[in-house]
This record gives sequence, structure tokens and C-alpha cells, in this order.
Amino acid sequence: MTNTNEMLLEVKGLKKYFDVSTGLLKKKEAYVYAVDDVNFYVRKGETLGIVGESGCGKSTTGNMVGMLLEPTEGEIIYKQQNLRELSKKNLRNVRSEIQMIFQDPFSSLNPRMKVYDIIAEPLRTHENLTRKELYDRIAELMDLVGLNKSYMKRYPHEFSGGQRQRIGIARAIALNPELVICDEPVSALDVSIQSQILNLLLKLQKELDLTFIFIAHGLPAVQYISDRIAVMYLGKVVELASKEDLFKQALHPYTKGLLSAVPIPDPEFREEEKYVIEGDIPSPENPPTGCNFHTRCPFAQDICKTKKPEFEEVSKDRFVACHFALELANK
Amino acid sequence: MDAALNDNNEIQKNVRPNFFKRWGFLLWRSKTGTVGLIIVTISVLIAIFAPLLAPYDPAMINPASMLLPPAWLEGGSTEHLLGTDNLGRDNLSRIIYGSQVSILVGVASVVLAGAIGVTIGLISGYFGGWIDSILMRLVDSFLAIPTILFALVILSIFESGVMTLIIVLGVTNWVNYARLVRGETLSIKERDYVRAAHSIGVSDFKIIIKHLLPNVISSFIVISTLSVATTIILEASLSFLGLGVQPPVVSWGSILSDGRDYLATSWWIATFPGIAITITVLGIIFLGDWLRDVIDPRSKSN
Amino acid sequence: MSNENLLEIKELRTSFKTEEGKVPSVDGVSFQIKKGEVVALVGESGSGKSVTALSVLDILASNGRIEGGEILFNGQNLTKYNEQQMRKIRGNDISMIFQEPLTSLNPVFKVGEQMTEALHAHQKISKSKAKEKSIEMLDKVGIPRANKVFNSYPHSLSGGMRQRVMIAIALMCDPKLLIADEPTTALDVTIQAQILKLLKEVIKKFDTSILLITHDLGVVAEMADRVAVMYCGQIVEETDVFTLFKNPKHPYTKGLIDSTPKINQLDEKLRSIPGSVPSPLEYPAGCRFADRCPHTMSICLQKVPNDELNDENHLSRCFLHSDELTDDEKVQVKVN
Repeated sequence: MTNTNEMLLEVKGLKKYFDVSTGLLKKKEAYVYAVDDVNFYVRKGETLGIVGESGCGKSTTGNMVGMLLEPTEGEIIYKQQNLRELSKKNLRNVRSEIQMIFQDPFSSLNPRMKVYDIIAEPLRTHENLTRKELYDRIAELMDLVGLNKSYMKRYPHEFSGGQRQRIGIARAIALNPELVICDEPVSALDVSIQSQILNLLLKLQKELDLTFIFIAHGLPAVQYISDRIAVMYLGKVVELASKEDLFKQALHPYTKGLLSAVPIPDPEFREEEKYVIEGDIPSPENPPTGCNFHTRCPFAQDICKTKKPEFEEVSKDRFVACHFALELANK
Repeated sequence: MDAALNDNNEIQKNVRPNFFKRWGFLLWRSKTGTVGLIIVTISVLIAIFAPLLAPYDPAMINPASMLLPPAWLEGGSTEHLLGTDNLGRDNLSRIIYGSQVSILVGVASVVLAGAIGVTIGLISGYFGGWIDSILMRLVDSFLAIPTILFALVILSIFESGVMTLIIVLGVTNWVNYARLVRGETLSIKERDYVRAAHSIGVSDFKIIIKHLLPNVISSFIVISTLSVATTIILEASLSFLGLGVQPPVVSWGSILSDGRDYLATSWWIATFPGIAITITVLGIIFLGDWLRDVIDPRSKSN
Repeated sequence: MSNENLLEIKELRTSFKTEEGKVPSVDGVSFQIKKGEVVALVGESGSGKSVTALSVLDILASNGRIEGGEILFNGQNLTKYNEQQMRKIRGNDISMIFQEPLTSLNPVFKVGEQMTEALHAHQKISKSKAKEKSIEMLDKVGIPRANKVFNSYPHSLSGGMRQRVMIAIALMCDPKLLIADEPTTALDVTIQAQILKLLKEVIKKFDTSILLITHDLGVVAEMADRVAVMYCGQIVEETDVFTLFKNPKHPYTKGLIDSTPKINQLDEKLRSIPGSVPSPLEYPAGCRFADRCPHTMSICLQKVPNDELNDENHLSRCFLHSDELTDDEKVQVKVN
């Protein structure tokens, strides 16, 4: 993995509030705080995993970086330029450099378009290729993702879930992008197919020098593919660390619970004492005050209920948002 | 990865379903669908080949053979199978020619309504915001006017004729399609393939034409077959009220209207076009029902 | 755990009629569940694991039919039961929890009404007694403020709470067997951990046997006593959970274990099983896994392997462990 120190993307104070105000005349203001002050950076050539449970804002974050959603507040700095201040023309160029892979291999491909046209779409939009060049490029891409090029003229419904995901990947890498945002790309697939796709992504990253943001709710998959992992909870990143650090010693109580909650596929571990986080995830419409994990945190103290913890760098490349992170670390 | 290559072998053997076999199977399984298709085909063929099929000129007045009953009744003659009307015109020929106007008005007005409705529905659903608000208020206001009343007003102002009928019926019906297509658009534009197109940087126009239109068109086709049926009835009602086509042009509705005064004595004048309308509309409804079952992807699983 | 079989399935065959033809979803499945035992049926989509479970209760979709085999529950053959007799079994002796707690609870009835409904269906019990018992059960499955939840509608509960309610309903009539069809698949990880913990408590407290249907090897490792791995409508391997993970015999089981990422083993390269599951209409002539298997021999393409007992309690449907093959039959074939 070419893990240079060159910064590719930086996200600063990113926020997205969805307006869910009700009532026609007497308006009651209400917002879903989907993403609430998120900060991270991605270096060129690395994979940043974003993991979290439903409603934590991981996909919303991905959609904002992929320019599918307008942030409420905050900056997305890609190659030293703020995406929110780009001219239309420059934005178009950046669009070809940032691509997305989606979760559902069934809804991510237009059922009425042939594979050829699906993969051709980005090329037709951004490049002026002759018919022959276009054909050759599509054949090359299909080969790259492990699809037989004789299936160009087929429709998506003729393929299995794993193959459809390959088509989606071919579309995403067609323009030689810099950054690919993978939004739960394997969650909808069977176990044996998941590893095919994960390995394909790793291979492509090496061959094409890609940078990934890999979003998933499943920690095992994220662990497998990522260099660094950001753990999100209720619209905030609570911990961000290299994979090794995170698994060696999680600092945030939520990360600890998350790690402990994943069932290990080895019955020898079944009797191990588990740390199960009790309670439900609060609604992002009405997040708790102070540290938003305090309602479920076994270590919560009074300060957690009133004061929001800062997202601080506790050691190099290691961030955590918890008042007692360092004390708990030694427990 | 050799994994993928093998993945491909499997598809080669298998997944491509035979298009004609599938539709043939679905048609065979649905008896009503088959009946519908046969009826509609025959009606359309009759309309197209009316000049060849009709024994007489539908407008030819013959005082010598007024109000003749159908051939199988006493006083009937084999020269006029379904009898004649008060002016001695051949009832069968008039019904055959009448199918031309009825079906033309039915189909053409639905096509017109569809063109307006689909366009507005797509724009409204895709762009949303104030565009959507304005267009949907327009739709609401159209919905608030009773169709037949609106048609009555327009037809009493403008000269009535086939073209006017088509336009009136088209303009009163587009709102249904606009609402339907807008709803579909709202759900399809949230699908990942539309988001994928956005993230690639595809223009709005192209997204509408290539991603949305092909996916809303199937539900439009289903609804529109059914509304061809209702439009044929609506045309008949307008013609019955004397606001439809003017002589010498005939439609099923105008024959019905002419026969109204003789219902007590010469029932056949109004009855046979009535039966023609009923059969055709039933056929179209059967066909539409079947199309709905076939086009709905959920029906594939049963 | 006793040695008595609570449920014994013998050569079960279930198929579905579709446009394309008859689909054999379950094709000769046999296994047993002892009293107090947790048996996991594990497999990917289309393996027939859920259909097996639905067959036990005879609640298949209208185009599905049990074609053959026996389902012995306490020695009684359920396939011979009529609808009325089955109704006495369902929700009473055998109950089921589904994957999606939102759709398996009726949105227009209060939680309490749905709980007491099961009681009234199977027992003569007064209203107040039923309520008392329901609230007690809600309490037992770890629902705080059970009184309030009893009077609320399903949509006002979170996913985890709904699944707890489902489990409470399933336990109302003291079932001897609980069928759990992907009970945690739709839930978040931390909630899944809570529900798994609850299920473990249920086993201890109620002495229920559980048939656990899942695709997640992690859940299997955590919960099961015995495991049956299904592929293409057949059980390809069956043994106790420790043996299965330590010493898997069937190449499919091995592949499944090797392609599951593990959080306790960083930097381990994942292997994948090539290809995808064949369509049930076009199963290969020989072994159904032959065209994805790394060890395919010539016999695998010609003959159907039987489930062989490799040793007492370890069953695997594979020629690799057979001693009776000729040299010709053992010739390696490259399939992928």
C-alpha cells in the first residue's frame, strides 16, 4: 500500500441537519442531526474505514464527500480546494475524480440499461472517445473487475449480486478516479461473495493507486480493508485510529462495546466475558446533551451529561472524543 | 482472480430468460389476457379495414328501407344484417365505420394526455421544490373541475369534430398521468443508479431521459390502456349529448345518440353500438389487467 | 441436554412451483434436535435453510409443498397432521421468531393484544391472568417498564425492543422448540449482542430447544451446540460446533470459514469461494459444489456424494474422505 503522507481529502466541521419541521401554520422546528461536526482526513493511497450503527451518519457523510448532498455547514477540502466553493467547471472535473460504489447491487444499476451503457455512461459524460476506443476501454474495465467481456450486451437482471457489484465497480473506476467512496459495498452480499468483492477492491487499489473511503456497519469487513478506522456514533466521530491501534486498545467506551459485540466465528471464544452495551441508540432528532453516548456508557459521570467532549488527538494519528479516554485506557 | 471467470460460466448456461417464451407463458396462463388481446386485435383490424368490410356507405340514406329490423327478426332482410336506422342507413356499416372514430379518439387523446402528463410529472418529480409546488397546484386545479363539465364548455365554444374531441379529452386527462409519473419519479430518483449518475456528473436532462423515463414508462403503459377504455366511453357520452362528432362522421356514441329516440320501437339502432362499446372496453380492460400483472416486476416471483 | 430427540427430520424434500419450473428448495435434509439443544442451520441465500424451518411448521408460501420425508416431533409425524392439528402445534409446542420484527408484528394492534392472542388461542385463561402473564414475560425478556410497553403499538418501539417482544410472544406458551430465523440479521451490532445474550438466557431459563437459522458464522460459533451446513438444498456437513470450526471436512464449510473476516485476526488474507451458487433449476449432475470446489475429482462430476459418517458424529457429503475410490475416480479436475 502506498501510504504517502500526501493529504488528499480533509473534512472539517462537517454538518448535515435534515429539516423535519411539522405543522403547516404553527411551525414546530425540528431537525435530524444526521452529521454533527465531523472531522477527518484521508491520505493519498490509504483506506479510511467509517464504521457505525444505523443512524450514525456514516452514509450521509459519504454522500456529502461524494457531492450527492449539500452540507449544512463545514468544509470538504479535496487537493487543497474547498469543494463547496468550486466553480461549475472545476466541480465537473472533481466529479470525475471522486466516484462512488453503492450498497444495493440491485438498485444501483438501471434495469433498463445494458452493461455496456452502464459502464459507458461516465466515459461518455467526461471523455470524447471514438466508438472503438469506448469499446476497448469498456472491455478493459470488465476484464479488470473480473467480468467476461462477452456479457456487455446483457441487462443487469441477468447477473448475480456479486457480478452486479462488479459492474458497479467498473463504472466507478472508469474515469481513473483518485478517491472512491464505497458505501456498504458488501453488506447486501452473501459471505462467500463478500470476500470476492473485498479482495477485488484491494487488488484494484494496488493496481490503480486508489484511495478509498470504506463505509460499513460490519466491523470485520472494515477491519479487513482499512488502514485507519473512524468509529461514528449519532452523527459524530467518537474515535479515529489506525486499525492496529484500534484493535489493540480501543479508547472510547463505545468502540470497546462495538468490538466486543461482534460475534467471533470461533466457538473457543464463546465463554469469554462480553461487554454488552445496554439500551437503545437514541434518536438523532433528539440527541442527548453533553457526550451523546452518556445514556449508554457504563463509565459516564456528571461532566459527561453536560459537557461535550472535544475530538482530540491523543497521540499521533489517534483521535478520540471522551472525557476519560486516557483514564479508561489503563483500566 | 479466477473466481470471477468461473462466475461468468454460470451465467452463460443460465440466467438469460427467453423473452418470448416468458410472455407466451404468461399469456397462456391468463385466459382473460388472451381474450382481451383477441378482442382488441379484432377491433383494431375492423377499424383499419372498415372500407373493405362495410357493406354500405355509412352515410348513404335510403328512404326505401327505413327502420328495418335485424336479419333474424320478422321483416328483416339479409341485405342489412343488423337492420337500418330512421334514415335507412345500414346499421352494421355505421358500427364498423364508427369504430374508427371511437378507437382513434380513445388512443390519440390518451397519447396526447400521456405526452403532457409524463413530461410534467417527470419535471415536477425530478426537480421538486417550487417547480413541483406550482405544477402540482396546477394539477390540483384541473382535478377540481369535473371532466365532463369542462368538455361541455370547451366543445360548446369551439367547433366540434374529431380533432377537438381528441384535444379536449387529452387536456382533461393529463393530470392523472402527471400525478402517477411524479410519484414514480420521486421514488426512482432516490434509487442508487440515479445517485450514481449524479456522482458521475451526468446532466439533469440526460438523467431524466435515460434513467427516469424508461423506468416510469411501463406503469404509464398499463394505466393508459385502461384509460383508452374510459376515454372511448367518455367520447360516447359526449357524442350522445350531441357534443361529439358531427354528421356525416359517425362514432359509436353518435349512433347511440341517434338511436335514442327510437329505443321503444327500433331498439337495434342503439343496442348494437352499445354492445360494440361494451365488448371493446372489456377487451381493453382485460388486456390492461394482464399487462399490469406482467409488467409489475413483483409478479415475476409467483 | 438429554439424549431424547425432540425433533427428527428425515429426508425432507420441499419444492416450489414457479414460472420456470419446479424448484427443489430442500432436497433430502435429515437432522435431529435433542431436548435443550441449539442446532444451527447455516448457509447462504438459496441454500434452503429457511424453507426447512418453514416446512417444520408447514407455513410455506402457497406455491410450496412438502414432497416427501418425515418431520417427527416428539415421535409424531407432523407431515401427516391436518391444518387444525398443526394449528395446535404452532405457537404452542413450536414457535418461531422472524428476521424482521417490524413486519412480523401487526402494526394496528397493541403489543399486549398480540401477546395475549397467543395465550387465548391455546389455553383457557382469563383476561386479567393473560395480562399478568404477558407483563411477566415482557419483564423476563428484559423490557423495562413492561406495563407501558404492554399498552403501546409496535411502531413506537425500537428494533431491538420489537425483537424482544417477538421473543416474549414466542415464549408465551412455553414452547418446547423455538425456531429462530435470522433473529439478529436486521439489527445493529450492539443490539444483536443484547439479543444473543437474551437468547442464551432463554435457553437456560426455559430449557427450550432452538433451531437457529443464520448465515453468520459468528452467531453460530456463539450460540450453537450442533451445526448443519446447507448448500443447494442439502446438508453438506453436520457435527458439533467445536469440531466444525476446528476441523471442517467439507470444502464448502472450509471456504465459508476462510472467507469470513475475523476481528481477532488482523492482516489475515481472506480466501474466497470462486463463482456463485448454481440455480436450483440447473444443479450439476454430480456434487452440487463441484464447480466451485478446489479439490474436484473426476468422480465429483459424475456421482452424487452421500452424506458419509466420517466418524461418530461428523457427517460430510464429500468424496474426499471416501476410501473406496478407484484411481480413475480420484483424478483431479480443474474447474475454476
